[in-house]
Amino acid sequence: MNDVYGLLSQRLDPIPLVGVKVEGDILGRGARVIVSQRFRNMEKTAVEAVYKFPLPEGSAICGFKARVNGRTIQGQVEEREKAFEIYDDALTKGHGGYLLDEERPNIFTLSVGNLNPGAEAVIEIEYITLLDIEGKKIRFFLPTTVSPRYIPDEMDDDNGIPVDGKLHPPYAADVPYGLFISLRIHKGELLESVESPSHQVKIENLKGDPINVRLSAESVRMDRDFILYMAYVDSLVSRAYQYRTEKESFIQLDFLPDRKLMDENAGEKSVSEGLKREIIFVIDCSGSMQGDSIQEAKKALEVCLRGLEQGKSFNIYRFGSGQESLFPESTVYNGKTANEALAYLRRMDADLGGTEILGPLKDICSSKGNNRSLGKDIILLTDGEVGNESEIFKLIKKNSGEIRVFPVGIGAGCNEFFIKGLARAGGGASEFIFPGERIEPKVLGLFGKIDQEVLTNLAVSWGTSSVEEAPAMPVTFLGSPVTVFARVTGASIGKSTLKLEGKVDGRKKTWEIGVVDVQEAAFPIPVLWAREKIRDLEESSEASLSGSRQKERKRNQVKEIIIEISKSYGLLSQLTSYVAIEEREDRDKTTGEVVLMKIPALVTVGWHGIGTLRPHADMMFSISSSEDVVDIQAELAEHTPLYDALSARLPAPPPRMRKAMPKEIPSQMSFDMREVKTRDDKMDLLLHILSLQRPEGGMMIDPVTAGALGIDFDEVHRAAGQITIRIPIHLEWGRQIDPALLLSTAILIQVLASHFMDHRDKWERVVGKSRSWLEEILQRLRPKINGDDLMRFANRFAGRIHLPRV
Amino acid sequence: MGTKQYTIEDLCELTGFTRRTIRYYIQEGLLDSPAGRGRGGFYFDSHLERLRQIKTLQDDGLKLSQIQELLKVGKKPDMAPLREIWIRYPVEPGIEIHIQKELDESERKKMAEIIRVAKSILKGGKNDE
Repeated sequence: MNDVYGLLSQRLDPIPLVGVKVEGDILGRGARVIVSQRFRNMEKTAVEAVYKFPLPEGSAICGFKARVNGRTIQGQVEEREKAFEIYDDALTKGHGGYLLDEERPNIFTLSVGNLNPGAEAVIEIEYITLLDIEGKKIRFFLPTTVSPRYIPDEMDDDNGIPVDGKLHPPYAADVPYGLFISLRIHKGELLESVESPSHQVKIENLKGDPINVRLSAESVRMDRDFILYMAYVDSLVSRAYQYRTEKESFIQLDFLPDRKLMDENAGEKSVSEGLKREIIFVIDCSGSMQGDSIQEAKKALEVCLRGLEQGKSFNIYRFGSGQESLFPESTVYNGKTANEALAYLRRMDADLGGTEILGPLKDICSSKGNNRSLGKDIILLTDGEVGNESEIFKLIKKNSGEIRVFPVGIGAGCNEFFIKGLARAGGGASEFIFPGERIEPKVLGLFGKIDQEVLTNLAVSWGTSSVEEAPAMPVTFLGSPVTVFARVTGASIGKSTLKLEGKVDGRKKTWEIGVVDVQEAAFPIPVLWAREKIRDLEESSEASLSGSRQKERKRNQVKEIIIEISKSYGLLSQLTSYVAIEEREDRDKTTGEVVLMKIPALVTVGWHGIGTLRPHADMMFSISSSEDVVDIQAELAEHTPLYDALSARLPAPPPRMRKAMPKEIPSQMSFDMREVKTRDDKMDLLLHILSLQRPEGGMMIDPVTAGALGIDFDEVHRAAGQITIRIPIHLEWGRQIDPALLLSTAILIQVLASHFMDHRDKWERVVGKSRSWLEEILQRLRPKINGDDLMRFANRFAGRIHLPRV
Repeated sequence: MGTKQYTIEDLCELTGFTRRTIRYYIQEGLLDSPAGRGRGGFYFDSHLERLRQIKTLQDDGLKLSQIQELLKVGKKPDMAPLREIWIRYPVEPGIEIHIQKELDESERKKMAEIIRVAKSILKGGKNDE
């Protein structure tokens, strides 16, 4: 770790960046943000300041201004090299020049040229974006620094310039500039809560409009992402918005396919029984993951492992410069392999050096899998700090028939472009876990998507053929919103509803979505369309064609379209740059030497184990801890035949249920509440209940749950002792069943169904394993308690529990 | 001096490098700054040759980091033999000065001067100022 510190300059030269201010307006999912960077030259010579900084990968950068000496100079979009020439010419002549290049969709280079001694310049970069939705929460995200990316040795230079030089600022242990953020949330009357897992924020005018949210501190260190969650009472509704101009119209279609479809199809799952997709966990154990990140990744993996369905094939890969896997090939998940996996996980550390993600992915793509496999789902846990994003996307796209990728971004400043781009390329979905954030709902949400029947062949009937959709083929999951933009040339679509068609589990479904006309939209739909279109083109396979002359020609055509859209919509892309020239009078012209100053940046806190957010993280609730792993085999041996064959009556179990559980609730589990008061308490309780699930199915009530639900332990035990069964054929099989576990499971499933309906999306799929385990027993053994059906008993039991409606 | 002068646009045209790339090479010290003040100065054949040299090495599959290393140390890596022509100038019996052909051509006057001075030193410094 010391050698890493060696990379960081300790010098604090008077660097010309004074501070960064971010102001934004948020309306629903739309955000318009202005990033202002203030430069002041404190040197005795003129300087050219070069600053590399990040922005969200999906942002449509549609404005670039320089404010100098009371003048405002508007930037314009030009083809990348041409923009540089304009800038270079201006500097050569002694004028002021301002240039903004896009190196990656989330990394930018700003050049502020010929800043005279004592002069000031404020650069304003404007972007609009649609914020991510997680259930009823909208997530505002702003990265603040570009952490060092791993660039594989074999990666080629870009136009004769090393990738390293394009992406990386110089790094310093400390910098004199900081960040201030101020956001206005408009029409927030349906807002339930606003919170930031990353920063301390002040919220003002909570009952008014707009609601103001700003950082509590005047200036914060730019070493971690800023994240703000806005929780709304309702989730997004499906609706289309149309914006008409004379010649064309633009449509934004928000679509939320109903989760109910899953239930309709649930009964038919048995059709594909036996043929299952494998699940492969891939853990980034490179150096950059040291510290917080690897701990978060391990927790997330543990949650995954616990939720896995019996009989599913799985494997774990970990990688750095090299790679290894838990099993030589995917192996069936059962009590034994689950324990092997958990033990493997416990030993894991970020000790494998570089970030050669391609290695394990190539391996997984090329391995045959067993012949009962329907394909592979990869859950990749990583900070994504790599520079060869497109090469990785290319590999995944090539194998998209066989594999799907669900990346989870870990850390305080992971590579958002890589995580989201990989999900786009791999037909999956992504999640982000900031240190200290609750891992469980995110991972379980992802799991829910992996397990569900996908919505395929989604098509919109626009009623006209002159439509350009973007994104062209979005991956759609039930219960998750998707947004499609369209440019319709000629007339408007002239309809009040749009018809959507798709297939769920092979069955055709249709939806009708209302169209609303919007005039001057707060968030211009044309620009958002153009941004999506550019991304579609940039990430298309045509954009990376090479080899034959024909392919080159095809690639150049795509490039020309990108440049054309970018210029006509005033939108930055990787092939275009924003340039602004400040023409100067002779007396103001820069003469003589101009010193190049590259603005140093901080590395992300926690990167490579430098710094930590741990103390904060420990305060959060977490179920995962390696100590509470139960050895299932050993436990079964200890509890064998409780079943009395002759009387078909189960004898009383041991007096305390404690014996059947891990010896103690580990200290890492700070969850010890007796009473559920807030929404958060309730979520904690839910996650805790889910964590009780065992690899083979079944959930045993523990003291914490009993306390929180107000359940009398002994009562459960007494009742379990009264369980009888009717069908002696399955006697041997029945011997394996712990009656207390059986009753516990039945009660907890009823508790979830009656008290946690509003969080159904979180638990429904997760407890699927316990539910099928329970159903099988119910079917085969028909258990009763004092003559009463077990489920009815459990339902009554659950009905007596009181949880506040929060 | 009768040496040819180039603008940065000329260099772009003659080498195929973009202006951004050439500026980057100057920044990184791979290419000397232009003569004259600031960005607007002129470039000479030596600049052109340097850029061509870099281009050749790139065409051989070398990355800039390798090229930087190579040009600093002044020797070729095993993988990419380059054709080079050197001019031999016998100074005294047993002593020769070797000058790379490109350098000899672009800096002919300077080279001739070097040889003249070298000869005079070896003859006992009679013409030495």
